[in-house]
Amino acid sequence: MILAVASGKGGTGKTTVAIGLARAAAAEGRTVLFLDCDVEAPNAALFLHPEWEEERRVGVLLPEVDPEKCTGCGRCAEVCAYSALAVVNGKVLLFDDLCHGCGSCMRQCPEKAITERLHTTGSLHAGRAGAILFARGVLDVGRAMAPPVIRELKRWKLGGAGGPGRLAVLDAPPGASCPVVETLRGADRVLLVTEPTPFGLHDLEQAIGLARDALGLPVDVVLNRADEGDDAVERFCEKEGIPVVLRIPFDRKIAEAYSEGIAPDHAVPEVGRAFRDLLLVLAGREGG
Amino acid sequence: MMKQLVVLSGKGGTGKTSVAAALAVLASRERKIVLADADVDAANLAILLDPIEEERVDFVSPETAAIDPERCVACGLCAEACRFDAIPVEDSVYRVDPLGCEGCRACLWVCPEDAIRMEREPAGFRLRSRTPYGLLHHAHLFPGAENSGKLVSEVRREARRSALDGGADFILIDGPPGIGCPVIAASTGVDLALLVAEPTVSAIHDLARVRGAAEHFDVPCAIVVNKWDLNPGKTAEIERFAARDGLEIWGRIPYDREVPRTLVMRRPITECPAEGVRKAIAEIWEAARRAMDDAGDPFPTRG
Repeated sequence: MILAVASGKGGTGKTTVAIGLARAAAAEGRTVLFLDCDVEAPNAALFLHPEWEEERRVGVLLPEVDPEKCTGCGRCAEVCAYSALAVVNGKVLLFDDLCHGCGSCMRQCPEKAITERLHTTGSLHAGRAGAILFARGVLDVGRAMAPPVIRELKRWKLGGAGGPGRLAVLDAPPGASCPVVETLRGADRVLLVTEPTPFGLHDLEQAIGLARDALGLPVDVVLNRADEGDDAVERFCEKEGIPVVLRIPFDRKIAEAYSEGIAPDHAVPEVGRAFRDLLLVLAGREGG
Repeated sequence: MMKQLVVLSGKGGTGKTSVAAALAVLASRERKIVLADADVDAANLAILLDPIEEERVDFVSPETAAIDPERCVACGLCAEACRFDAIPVEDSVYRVDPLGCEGCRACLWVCPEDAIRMEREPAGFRLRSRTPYGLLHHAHLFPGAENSGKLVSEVRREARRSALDGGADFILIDGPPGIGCPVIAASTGVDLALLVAEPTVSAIHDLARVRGAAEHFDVPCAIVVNKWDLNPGKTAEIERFAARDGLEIWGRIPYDREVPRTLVMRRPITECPAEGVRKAIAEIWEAARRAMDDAGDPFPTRG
């Protein structure tokens, strides 16, 4: 099973839920892969402390024009949907940050004057955190586009990781636009973590609109700090027929442990047990 | 001289919107201000500010490709050219997954049958609302829609227009989490980024990243510590970080369960019953005002 943990709103507890589930599954002897897809704010390693074994740089393929072959015809600029290329005085200018690396300019150049080089915008790291295989993407500071880093991370490590008896947990970024789409595509189900506040509800609706309505994925909800708010999220989930599969109560002990880099499943034993139960519920859904 | 301040954090959920709304309340008592919610995926500022919608303008997505099944001969060249895995094939039927498509047209250029056309869909809308504290520019991006950076830029453009038209001298922007495209769109050209950090390992890690991004784009920063007494040791770490980087700390908001209770009632934390919280917010606004009024530093004049 490939399980994505997402939320809409930031700071609701995606990472701690993803970690709790991954550790619960690993404790049962399942093969577990943890992918931190929040490449703008990758935090899971701060809790899981993996020993790094591999690293690679990733990015976007940028065009390089051979001035010997280029005739300045302008076809490359014409086919670029992002206005990343311009031809001025017969010379091709490239605006790196606008290029998505689609390769059209190279393919359409009548003189075959364009080749590509990798313009790195982030890095991928992989290693082991106990029994868990861990990998993450990190967008370089100052770079704009998270999706290519997420895409490369999934291409690198996700193949086969969600097969029978295996669990891949994808820790998604907040929001409901491109980086979340890139994370959720190809997942089997989505766990949405929220809090019982007007913010939590508003952003949960966004996340459901993406995960369930646009991507057609089965969704369940985890309510964090469940006793610290109103009942609007519960009523909404009931109306929409979305199961609330776990309620984590507010506990200052959890917040304090979290601040030191200790996830709730290790800080409070009952929470650890709750994740083991949740895993059974989710596995049951997959089987049925 | 008009000033723009954006509230950022790197990590989500550290209190950007709570701080922005509280600053809006206090600032509006002394100044004419305009507000902008630049977190268009998860726009929450309006929830705290009693907005009355005045204007709604549709936002269309960038183009995505679509394959005309009548013309398609299933040659597969489009899927081969697509670098975004957006043209899956099932039983020799090729179709474009609009959520994966980045609108690059690579498929369109390689299709020998002229079977591909580009389409645009509604992707959200931009809003202008009246609040007791000033005009609020915000937006709603449909789930899964692309190009939130462009919508953020539109929200900011409209906020600037309102400020110029209405003689406001302060634009307060509630920013998105992260460090990527929407954050860059929310903070290019602002006078200062106020970074909201919690004393947790994650928030400190992401604080350093967003500070790096702001530095990269030449935006000066100041820091607010939220829930500071949850972990005084980590708060001291944030203070050391600030001292090392020469950043001012504008305030420390205590950890108090009255804060979420106030937010659940959709009220800004200037109305929080906990006196320590209200005092901290007042100090933060004092620091913001001082910074705005001090010629140049840390609000340099911009063209």
